[in-house]
This record gives sequence, structure tokens and C-alpha cells, in this order.
Amino acid sequence: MKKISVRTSDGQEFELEENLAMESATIKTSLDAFSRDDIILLPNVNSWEMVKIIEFFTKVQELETKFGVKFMEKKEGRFLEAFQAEFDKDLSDDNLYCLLWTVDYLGIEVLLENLCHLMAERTKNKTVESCRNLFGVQHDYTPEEEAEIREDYSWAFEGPEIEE
Amino acid sequence: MGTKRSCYSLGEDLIVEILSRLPVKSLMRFSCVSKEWYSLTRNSYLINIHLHRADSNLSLLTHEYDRDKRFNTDPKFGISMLGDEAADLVSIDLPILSNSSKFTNIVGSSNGLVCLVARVKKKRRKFMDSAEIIIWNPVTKQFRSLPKPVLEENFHRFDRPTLGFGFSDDNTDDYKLVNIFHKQVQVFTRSTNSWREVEGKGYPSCKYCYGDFWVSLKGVLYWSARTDRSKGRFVLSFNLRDEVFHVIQLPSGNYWYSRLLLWKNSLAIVSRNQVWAAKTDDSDESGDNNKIVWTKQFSIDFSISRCEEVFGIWKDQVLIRRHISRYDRLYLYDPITKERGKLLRKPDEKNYYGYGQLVNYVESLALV
Repeated sequence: MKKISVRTSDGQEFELEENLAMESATIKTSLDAFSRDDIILLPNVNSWEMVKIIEFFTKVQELETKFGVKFMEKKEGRFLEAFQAEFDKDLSDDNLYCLLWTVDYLGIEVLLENLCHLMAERTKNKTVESCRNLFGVQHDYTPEEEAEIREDYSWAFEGPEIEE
Repeated sequence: MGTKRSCYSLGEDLIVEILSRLPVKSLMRFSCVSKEWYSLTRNSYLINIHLHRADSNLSLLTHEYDRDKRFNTDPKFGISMLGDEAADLVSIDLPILSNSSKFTNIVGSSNGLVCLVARVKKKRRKFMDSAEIIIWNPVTKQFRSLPKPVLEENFHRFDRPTLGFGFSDDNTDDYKLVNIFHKQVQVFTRSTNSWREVEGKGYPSCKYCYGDFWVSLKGVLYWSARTDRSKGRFVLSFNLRDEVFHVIQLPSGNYWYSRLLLWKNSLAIVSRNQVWAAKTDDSDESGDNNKIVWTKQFSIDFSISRCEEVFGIWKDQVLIRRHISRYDRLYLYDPITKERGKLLRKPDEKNYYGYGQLVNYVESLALV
């Protein structure tokens, strides 16, 4: 199996299996444009992210074999749960956010779905403030406007599952 | 690994992907995050994606309680949701109406919206005068009262019209209602927020249209009907897209019940202990009225045949209703193994006595 070399923003080089490299639409486009012997520069990707991506990719392949699910098929609940169980504990919210951005940038569809699921699970029980922080969203409501929404949907703000 | 984020923002497409996987309660709360997020959660793009991810195995179950036969009072109406693996019944709060109207039945349920009728019980009142038509989203808890159709005066004053509700296609933007009253057919569209008379092409003017036991499938509404008391039953369909009626004949020789069902994504009907389903006969390519072929799907072994009947279909199981003593109970039944399954929990109300309708439901963000 041919290996493709990439260099991340902090100068570290990785050798990727060709089938993994080809899952990235961005890398694939570069390969089509240039020689396969060149190193591909990825200035928007950190080395820790690349390590994680390689780890993820290997795990997704394992789980797909285990659950008999093919690439691009709708992932069943058990598959997603198993994926989440593996990776959830190691990633902080911010790191997950960055990783999601990077996987989107690299255009790795097969990982994107899993990461979106992970991100949704992390987000769903958050408070409004916590969610704003995570997604880096500017708070643009006046206090009166926000109070009105909170009153109209008061039931959505109550519940034991909502994290403090 | 850093612990502080120092990367770019996620694009809107990705945000929508993530939001589409969140439960409705979280999304309503996150409307507060920013004005942009508020718009996103009310935008048909997210609403449609979210809808397509939703579990479509839920049902709403209506029941009645507190009917006092001595004083001839109307029963109270309650509603529960049936869903999940365990077939648990979860009670749902109905909208609170400002006047003293009480809900009577569900006229339609599609793409997460439920259309209900409420009435103020006053003797000797024309139906539409005392009725209210409400569109409700049970999970966002939004609801509103629709303008009412104006019915022609020259018919028996207590006759009830038949109402239908649905979306004409997969787009969650525009829903329609149809109102059938003797020869008069009217359609309401959300976008115009008004009723208009329609030609009612194909309408056979039936005297008896059993409005409570409708089913809705792929943008078409179905009711069982008779042109006259003496004539046989047929199925009346209304296509919400082209607003045309069709009559679907039933095989002769069977005694058909008025309750319609959905079995494995096909229209189905009950004859005593048998369930039959409809299929389009693809070999007949003539005209706009595809020939429908009915085939028996399965029979049920009732254990107490005079007290049991088919109530509805949930996933691929049959719900059997048993009338015994003071109230109904529902059982799950597997038509393939013929095994009797779980007994559904009785509704909580003290004077509960019977079930009404079972309708398909899906949770969505659809706007009323």
C-alpha cells in the first residue's frame, strides 16, 4: 500500500496509508494536482489532530467490520455508541470543536458524521451560556428579548438532565 | 493538545448538521443562544433535515374519561404518546384553550403537527359554530387556532363535516386542511391562512364519511365512507397536492370495518379478524386512477372474540382492544408469531374508560 506524506502546521510529518489519505477530499485534490511523491502541506492542521484522525479512522474501520456496516451507510445507534465510548473521554469540548473543524476542512466525510454525532451528544444538555462559549457565538439579544424567550419556552430550560 | 480553542469557526452547514441531531427541547432552549440560532431553528432547511432524522415509530393515542352517562355529559379527552422499544405510554399535556372548549378528536397528524378539533358543548348548536380547529406541535408546545370554514346553511344543522389535514409533500413549510360537508369541499392552506372552495373533482358525495379513522400516506388522505346507509363501504382518498378525490372499491363479500390502518407503509383495512392491505396494480397503466388490489395480510387469533377487535398498528405489531368491564385495555400482538405481547399501561385518569384514536406521529420543529 502506497504511503502519502503530509506535513502539519507545526512541522511534523506523517505517513498516511493511501486509502486513508484518499478519504480526505482536500488531500485527494492535492494529489490529483501534484505528484504523489511530494509532501502535502497542511498548514491548517495540528499534529495532535492528525494523530487523532489516524486513530479515529482505524477505529471506524474496526467498528464497521464488527457491526457489518459499510462506509457512507447510515450509522446505527450501536455503532455510534461504540464510537462515542472510545473517544469521548479523551477529548475536551474545545478540542472536539477544533477536530471537527479540521475534519471538515480535510473533507473526510466518513469521520464527519461520527464527530457531528459526538458533538451533538456533548451539546444537547448544555445551558445556553455553555453552548455560546463552545461555539464561539456572539450574544446579541437584549436582556428583555432573552427574558421573553426564556418565558415562552420555560419548559425547555428546566430538567434534571441540563448541566450546570 | 491545547485546552484553549484557537481555531476557526465552524461553518453554518456544519452547525446545522449538529443541530439537526439535537432533541427539540435542546433546540428550543438554544434559540436563546443568538438571533442567528433562533432563525436557524425556525428555518425550513433545518426543520426538514431534523424531521428526516426523527424516529417515525411514534404514535399518539387518544382516550376518554369522566363521561357521565346519567347526565349525558361529553367525556373528557386525553392524549398519550406511544413510542420506543418498550411501548411505553407517556401522557402529554394538551394545549390550554382560553374558552371552555374541550378537545374531541384528532383530525390529522403529519410532519410533527397535529390538527385537533375542540368544541364548546352547547346543545342544539351547529357544528362549526361551536368548534375550534387547532394546529399543535406537541413537542415545541406551540399551537394556534385556525380561521374556520363557512358551511352552507341548507343542511341538517347537527351534521358534522369531515376534516382532513396533511402536508402535500415532504416540505414542511405549507400544510393543508380539507373540509368536506355534503357536496361542499373547501381547502385551507397555511401560506394563505384562508379557506377556498374547490371543485372537489372525483368527489362522490357520500353521506357517511368516517372522519375519525383517517390515515394519511405520502400526501394522500384516506377515509372510509358510504354513499348511503344501504350501500357498501368504500375508501375515499384525497390527494393534497392536486386536490382530487378518488374512490377505492373494496372487495365484495367481506364485512369491512370503518377503521383504516397503515400496514408496512400501505393502506390497510380490517374485516373482523383479518387485515387486508392495498397495493397498486402496476400492470394497469391506464389513466390517472391506478387499479388497487387488496390482499389479505394476516388473521388474528382473538382469545375472547366477542370482546376483542383490531385497534391499530404500531411498528409491525397489532394493537388489540379488549372491552371488558368498565374500561378498554390494549394488547400488543405479533401477527407472524401469533404471540400476545405486552399489555399497555392504563391511562392515569380516575374515570378512564375507553380509547379513541391511534395516529402516527413524529417529533419535529415544524411551525404551526
